[in-house]
Amino acid sequence: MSPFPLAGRALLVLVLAATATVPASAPVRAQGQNNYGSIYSRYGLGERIDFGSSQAEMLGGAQTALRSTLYNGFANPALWADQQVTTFSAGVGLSGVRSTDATADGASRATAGDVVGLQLGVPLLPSRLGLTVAYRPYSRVNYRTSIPGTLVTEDDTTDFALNQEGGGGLQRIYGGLGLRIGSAVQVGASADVIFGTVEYLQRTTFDAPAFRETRQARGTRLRGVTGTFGAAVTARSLTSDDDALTVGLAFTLPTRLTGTRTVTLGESLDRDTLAAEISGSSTLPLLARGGVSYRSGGRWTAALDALYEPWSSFESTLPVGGYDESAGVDDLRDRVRVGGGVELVPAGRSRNAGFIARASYRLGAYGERGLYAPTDQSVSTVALTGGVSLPNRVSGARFDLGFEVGTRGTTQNALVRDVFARGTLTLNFGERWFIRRRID
Amino acid sequence: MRVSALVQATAGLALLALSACQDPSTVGLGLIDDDASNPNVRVLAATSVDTVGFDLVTSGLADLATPTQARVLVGSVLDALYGDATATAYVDAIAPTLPSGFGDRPVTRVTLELRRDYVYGDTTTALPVELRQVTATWSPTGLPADTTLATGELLTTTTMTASDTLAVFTLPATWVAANDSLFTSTAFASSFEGFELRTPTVPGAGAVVGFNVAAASGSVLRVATARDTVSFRLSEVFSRVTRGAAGLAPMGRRLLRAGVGEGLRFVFDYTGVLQLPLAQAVFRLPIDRTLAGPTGAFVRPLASEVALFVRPRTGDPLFVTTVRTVGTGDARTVSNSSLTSLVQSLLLDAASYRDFQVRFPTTPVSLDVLPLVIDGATPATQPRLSLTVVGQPT
Repeated sequence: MSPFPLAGRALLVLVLAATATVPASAPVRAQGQNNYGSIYSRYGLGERIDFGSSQAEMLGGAQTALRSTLYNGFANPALWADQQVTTFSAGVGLSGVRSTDATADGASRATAGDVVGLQLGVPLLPSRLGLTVAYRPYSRVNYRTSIPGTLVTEDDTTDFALNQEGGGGLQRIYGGLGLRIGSAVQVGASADVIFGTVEYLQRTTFDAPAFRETRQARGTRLRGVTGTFGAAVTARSLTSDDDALTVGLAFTLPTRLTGTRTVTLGESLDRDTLAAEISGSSTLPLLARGGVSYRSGGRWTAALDALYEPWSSFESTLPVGGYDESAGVDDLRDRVRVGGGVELVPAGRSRNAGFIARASYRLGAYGERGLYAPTDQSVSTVALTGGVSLPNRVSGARFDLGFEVGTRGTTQNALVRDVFARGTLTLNFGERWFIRRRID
Repeated sequence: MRVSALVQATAGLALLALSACQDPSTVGLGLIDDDASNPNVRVLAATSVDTVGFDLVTSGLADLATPTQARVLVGSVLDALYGDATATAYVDAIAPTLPSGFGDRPVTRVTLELRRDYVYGDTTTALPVELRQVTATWSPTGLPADTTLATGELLTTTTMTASDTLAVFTLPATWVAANDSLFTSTAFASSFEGFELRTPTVPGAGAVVGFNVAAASGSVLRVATARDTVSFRLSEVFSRVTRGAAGLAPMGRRLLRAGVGEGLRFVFDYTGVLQLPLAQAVFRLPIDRTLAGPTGAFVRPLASEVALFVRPRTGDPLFVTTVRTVGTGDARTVSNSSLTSLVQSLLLDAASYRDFQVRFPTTPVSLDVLPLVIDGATPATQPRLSLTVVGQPT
């Protein structure tokens, strides 16, 4: 009997995390809920989220060629063939952003929590054929800025705040298979369902109680299906008997999301639709990524990734932040990201070493040119990533604590400079579920 | 177990992660100010103001029962500006629990005592008030305001000065003796239909006075024996109010008086504010206070409030809020929450509503006046809606 009833506990975590996920994916930002991030999340369909696994997150986001029997990454379905045990992971993150620009007197500070992803992987044929179903956010919109002012009426003079807020984002649920062909090559594919709502809210509050808060929201609800295809090739024993070099590639096809746009007035449960619902579509661009990883014994791992998303080809009949076809507005540009990192496990594959030696220590970095170019200025992000993966008494369970600190943008040319920090907490479980009973 | 602790930690962090905060500022305005739309005030002057009639209700039950009527009017006044008016009051009473042995002793004295709380007209007028017993069976529910109830012969006439605060009508001894058993009868409610109070021709300008009919005010029918005095509370009450022709109103003024089933209807043009978010709506009625209030001894009370109704495309008018004349300047809505909600609905679906109406309150019945300024020269001299909207029409 397994010392750790993974199925039951996994289900508990799944339910709890899914409960937490609902507000993050809900189309409506509940009144009084504060959950904000960067102003740049208003562009396109939101700030892109590329969580692959807690391991990859700490290695600068390098994940396309990062093979692991425990970490079942999201990015490349070909790597799902590596599964030897049933794996489950769930994680949450907490981000803080300090934003400044050239004109505002002070800085804006925001914090936001989110669910980074849920994943369940099942080895149909251990180390040969693996099935994975997963959820992770595709993008997130969570900005807020406030314009103060004074209103004079016949009876009152009151200060007001005109808040421009963005909420929602797209979610992604997918399932697929990874297959090993021979000893070196593995391929995989997944079907990805993308859905969600992006909402831009104009909320006006008044100091004088004689005035009531107004809320006018423009919500765009989208849904569609796409596919991801990946491959990886591994060469072994290059410089020693126990090393491996893996090269991986993955593509997510461009897809057309269909949806509707509504303009509403009022609170979340008491909204009036101001105008007829408008149907339309948005076309997400291709996502292409390639990577390389090198593992030396069980002690060292290094990974490097590059990602390309041609958002300059984004098309939408529904206006979104920074893009309005009818008004000729297009602030979107191709997104490029390069990241990498190294991992050290002092104990290597030894299971008898101490707790500190069996922990994994990771450090990475990435640079990214964002998918937006407001005022025709590219916005770049550089960040340092890292963290530690703590082993558990139960074999196959890891408790990962990650961090990320970086800066995005500049205060020149009406842009905003974000200094951000992020922490993640992820649980990864691995357990053999389907054991063939043997009778001697 | 350590794993159990990890599970609990994850769940806790998942919940904590959602309770984040922000210190908002103007950072980033350069990226989104194209979307910004400041709140601004739009004044909609009424495009038409018309007098409308409606069924006047002056009857009711004293002491807060439904339908409530807290006052009756009696008197006659000559007013060249707002029109002459004559009022006749009807009051019924209800028997209390009688003291032990009350019915064994003869009734010696019956008085109707009424507490005055209102006067319209010449406050120095000596007002003769005639008292008669009502012989008709009547109900205060659905009673037309021009109803005349059948009465018996004149019982007594009492002259009061319009400024007196208490009027006492003493029933003649012959009537008391003839109705001795009435006040101890268990069938009092069905046997007694009350009194009529009427004024004959009044010399001079005259006055109409109002009596508070609530028992707490001291208005009661007092029945005494040699040993006990019992107070019968007033129950069903009614005022018949008739109006003579009004004079010509000054230019740019619309004179409105309560007690005659008359109100005003206002139509607004919402073009330019349709579909906009609304932060506040205030309904304003400019008034000319020189055409109300006292002129020497002659008093025309300014209505302290009128009721604002909205008339849907279908169905009965809906009460929205009250318009008050407190302080100086315009009469206006003070508590605007319900009006703001209503006007917001109207801005989203203007076709569902016809117009706004103002009416005088049905209780307490009065002859209050509302001299409106309607000259159309500027929005400030016209009934209007002041709307604080956010943004511009698209």
